[in-house]
Amino acid sequence: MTSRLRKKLQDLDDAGSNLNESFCLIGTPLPSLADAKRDQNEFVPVWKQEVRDEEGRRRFHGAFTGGFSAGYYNSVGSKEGWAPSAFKSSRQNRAGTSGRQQTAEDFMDEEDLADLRDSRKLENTDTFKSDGFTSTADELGRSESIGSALTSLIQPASSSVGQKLLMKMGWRPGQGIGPRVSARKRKIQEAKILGRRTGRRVADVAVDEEEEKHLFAPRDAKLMVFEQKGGKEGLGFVKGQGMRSIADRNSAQTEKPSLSAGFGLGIDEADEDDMDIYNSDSIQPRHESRMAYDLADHDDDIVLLGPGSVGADRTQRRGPRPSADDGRTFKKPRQAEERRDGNVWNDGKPVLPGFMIDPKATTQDKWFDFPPIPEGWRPRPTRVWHRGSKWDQKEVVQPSVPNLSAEKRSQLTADQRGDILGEEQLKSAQKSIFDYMSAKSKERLAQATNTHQSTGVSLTVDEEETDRQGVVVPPLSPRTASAALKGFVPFADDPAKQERYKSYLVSQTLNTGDPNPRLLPGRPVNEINKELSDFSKSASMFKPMSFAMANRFTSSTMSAADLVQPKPGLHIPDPDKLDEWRDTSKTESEVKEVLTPRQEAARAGMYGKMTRTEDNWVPNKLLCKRFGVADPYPDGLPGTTATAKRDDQAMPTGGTLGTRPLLTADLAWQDKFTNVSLPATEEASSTTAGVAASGPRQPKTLAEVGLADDVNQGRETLTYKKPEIDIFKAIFADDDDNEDEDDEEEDGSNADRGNGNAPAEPVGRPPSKLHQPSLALPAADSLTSLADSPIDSSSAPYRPVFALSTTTKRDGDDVENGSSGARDKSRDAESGKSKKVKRSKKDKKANKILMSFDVGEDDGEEEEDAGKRSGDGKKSKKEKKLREEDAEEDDMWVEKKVAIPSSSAATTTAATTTTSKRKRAEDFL
Amino acid sequence: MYVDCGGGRGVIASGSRVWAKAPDNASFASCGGDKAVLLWDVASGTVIRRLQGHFGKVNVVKYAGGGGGAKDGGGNVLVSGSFDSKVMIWDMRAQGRLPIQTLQEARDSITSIAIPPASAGCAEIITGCVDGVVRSYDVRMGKVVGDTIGAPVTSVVASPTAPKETLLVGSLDSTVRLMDRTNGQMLATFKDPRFVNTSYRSQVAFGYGEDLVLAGDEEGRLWSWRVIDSTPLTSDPPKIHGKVITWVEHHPLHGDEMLTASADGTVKVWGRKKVD
Repeated sequence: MTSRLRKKLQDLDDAGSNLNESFCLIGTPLPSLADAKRDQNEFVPVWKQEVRDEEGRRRFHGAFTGGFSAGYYNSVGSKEGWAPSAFKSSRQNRAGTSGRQQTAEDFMDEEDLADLRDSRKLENTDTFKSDGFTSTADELGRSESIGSALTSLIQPASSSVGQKLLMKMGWRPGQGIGPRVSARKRKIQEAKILGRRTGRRVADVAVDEEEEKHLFAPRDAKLMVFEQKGGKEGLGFVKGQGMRSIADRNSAQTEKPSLSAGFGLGIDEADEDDMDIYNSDSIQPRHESRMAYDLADHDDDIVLLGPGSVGADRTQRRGPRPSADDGRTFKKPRQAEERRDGNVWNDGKPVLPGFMIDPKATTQDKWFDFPPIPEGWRPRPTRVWHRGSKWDQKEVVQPSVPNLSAEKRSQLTADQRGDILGEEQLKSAQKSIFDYMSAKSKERLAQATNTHQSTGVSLTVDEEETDRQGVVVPPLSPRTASAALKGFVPFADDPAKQERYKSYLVSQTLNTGDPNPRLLPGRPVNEINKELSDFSKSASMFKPMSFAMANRFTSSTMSAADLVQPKPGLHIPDPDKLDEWRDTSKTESEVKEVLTPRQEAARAGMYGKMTRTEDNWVPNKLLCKRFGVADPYPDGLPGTTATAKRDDQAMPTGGTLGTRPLLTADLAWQDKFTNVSLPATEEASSTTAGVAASGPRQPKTLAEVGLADDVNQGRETLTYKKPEIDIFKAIFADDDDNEDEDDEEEDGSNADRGNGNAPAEPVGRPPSKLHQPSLALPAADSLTSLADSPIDSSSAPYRPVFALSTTTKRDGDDVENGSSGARDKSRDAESGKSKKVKRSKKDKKANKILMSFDVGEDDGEEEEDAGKRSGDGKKSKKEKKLREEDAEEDDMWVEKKVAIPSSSAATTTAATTTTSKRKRAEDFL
Repeated sequence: MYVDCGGGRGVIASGSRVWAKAPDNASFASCGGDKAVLLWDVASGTVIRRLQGHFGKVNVVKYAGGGGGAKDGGGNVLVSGSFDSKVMIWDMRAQGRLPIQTLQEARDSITSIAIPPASAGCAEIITGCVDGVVRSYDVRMGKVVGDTIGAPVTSVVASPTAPKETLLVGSLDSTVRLMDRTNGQMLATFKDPRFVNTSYRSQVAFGYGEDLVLAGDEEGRLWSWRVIDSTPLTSDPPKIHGKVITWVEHHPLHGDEMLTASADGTVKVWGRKKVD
């Protein structure tokens, strides 16, 4: 491509012509990200995507990943079924030598097979063709109409076995069955057939010499086609054609000119009735080519069938002529005569003796108009169909009354009916199992099935019926009824009433088997009605069970419950409501907007509970680090048993308040004290702890302190870059520089702030009593001692006193220790100060933060404390390093576990893990 | 087209691109119709990183997370909201190409993102979506709270003073609402018959000290309401732009500076006239 382009350019240069073509690129194409490795963000088609759960783990593995590898069509079965086929060695019986034989089809592909199938089809059509056309050879049939002729043409496409056999024996379609006969015999046969039809007698038959030499197949007998008589019309009546037309045709036919010889007329133009153009011998050779077996003049039928079957038909009707001159002279006049006499039908059949055809045809059939539909009438088939159906509301009660009795009656057995009628039971009647039961067990059974028995065989049916007379069952839409039936069922206090309510709902559902609700027994009608209307009301009230469901399952636009559900069955618009329905359909198309309940609430301005949803959301662990907060779900999804248990442990005061609300409360509280303004923070810290912890490096909030996002994370080490003890500085200068560099790299913008933090060391803080509980973390407090943490579980629990001290102290701690954890600090507290110092010295080379701890040692009074801390720092750093080895690249920024205790945002989980250690520290202190 | 708003975070929409400045002033991010988020180095004026992953136009980009050294939140992560109804969170501390997390709860295009300042103890991402729901992702709690507003939400602005409690929500029903974040209730409505915002995204803003709510309409007028009684400052505000005002932002620190961006291609910086 480029070479071609270059060549082209060269050519152009050579030609010296101006370059009309533009080779400029507009804009700068972005460099491909996918140079080095595949871009993982690039779009992947759906079938290549992997299913992952909320936590990013792959959901399906192995056989369940989908695709072709997943069993047999994603089932666990195999092609053979659920059990794989047993192994069969092919050593002895190799493929091909034994077993199934290979066929040509095995080596054919789809296309070949399709070809094969097509070729087979062609074969069939061929036979059909030959069948169809040769069978017209015997056109001597008597069928009058084209239709019947065509019917006789149409043969079954597949030849029967008998036909096949016959064809093997030499029979051809169109021939008659039997031994071959001489031409003369055959002609006699023909004449007989014809004679039978027309009533003529067989005349003498002339046979050619040539014909005499051959034997011919006998004439085929015409297939009789019987038309089924469908209507109530008289015999010979053709549908769609009045008597007059028949008469007209008759007269027309009779008036036709009877040409004896149609010279000069074309074949198609002439009426075959009167012409016999193929009769002369001059045309004979032409016929011979048509049909081998029929040399004579009789094949004219066959010839005619092709171009104009009508003509052929007529020829047949008229019948062939035994001889050229004979046929015409003797047939024609006679037919005409007969017709004129009215003794022959137009189909040539003689009229029954004693009858005559009426020369005057009857008048044509008259079609009467439909009676005019009265104005305003509308079809209302429901009135007739579903008498008790729900949508025909007016008809609900009255017609249902007879239904009731009929239904009840149908439930009775013959014996029961007999009982009612006082019949004597037959002795031989089949005994039921109840007859063999003892009286006691019968009684027990009766008790068990008491309710059913009471409504069973009795004559209470009639009473109920009378009761129902004034009852108005309020209609309920079937959807509402079924929804209410599925939802909450009220009247739990009164089971009987509940039953009635249920039966009412059942009666109102669509296609109910029980259209009559159970009624309040033995009460006046108005009470029953009232109860029923109550039922209806409560049903529509409790139906919105679907509301809750709709809230659960919302699609992007509308909820399923909001959709109009189609009614099953044939839709018959209620004529009374037709206009109304039209209106609503119009408005529906106008509105078209379907709102979810939540959106409706929002539209109505009811913001709050109605519009709010709250779900669990699992933030990525890294995201939590980046935000500087603890992972809310450190061990898996919320709702799992492990998490729930954890929550319970961590929050004995529990309730719905998790550990996390507590922490927010802490934050809120903390804001009050520390976050109002910078001086306020300073004041608070200085007053409470007596530490002059002011300076630009001091973190503004506890949330930042010691956390991953804490700027001091790296900076604090810088802070102690210039400790006051020169020795340490001299010894560990290298380390400092390294750190410095690291920090610069990692957080260049913050590096400069680190320098000012030196005075912030709260070295002189005495280990006061106040600090003791503060060592225990807020979350730990709640676990270890309830008394220490007065939690206001109602709204936002926070602990004013202890947390305050914690805050201040922790501020100090953080400044001192940086990211080192309090737990480590406290854990090693028992070991002596000098030991600590020693160790700290040892470790200093390895750990940068160590240095910062040593700063505290310059103060005599606080030596122990500081030393302790420094030791802790060392240790924690060590641990940290170990932990970090396999951690992510910026774990040194985001040391969550260490950060948690010092941050107010710590979750209990982290807190609980450290609790035991810290307790020990407390004990020591 | 970038205007530094001082020490805080500046966001400017101009045309189809939206810019977000990193808290450390060293870089800023831009997003737009090319489905990519670009990270620019301020000093050299070059693109440092290109974050690809969205399948649609990226509508909004914001810095979030801790760190960064700024008072009101860090620049540890970059949050981008896109037309593909996804919010992607990108790690600014690592060079990975993949987003840390993708928030897929939204049903429609994400129009705006608000990050309450971390200094207030918030670790949240608030997104406004065309599906009419404001979703607050609380990283600390592991909860997502969806508040249905109804109309397509075009802008969400957390209150600078009380980011945990109040949120300003502009939506395409020509209404600006002040929502209570704690319970989802509505605190105040700011609307006017002449204030029309039904088809374009127009970022609303709090005035300095939260005494005002500022919003531009589709005529190019800048409306302002008093928060106290939610009455407009003037019933007939002047037309300051030729076309729809797409963004209004107040200076986070100085009370007398404000800027507006419009579809007419201009960004105007407003200052208060000193009256002696």
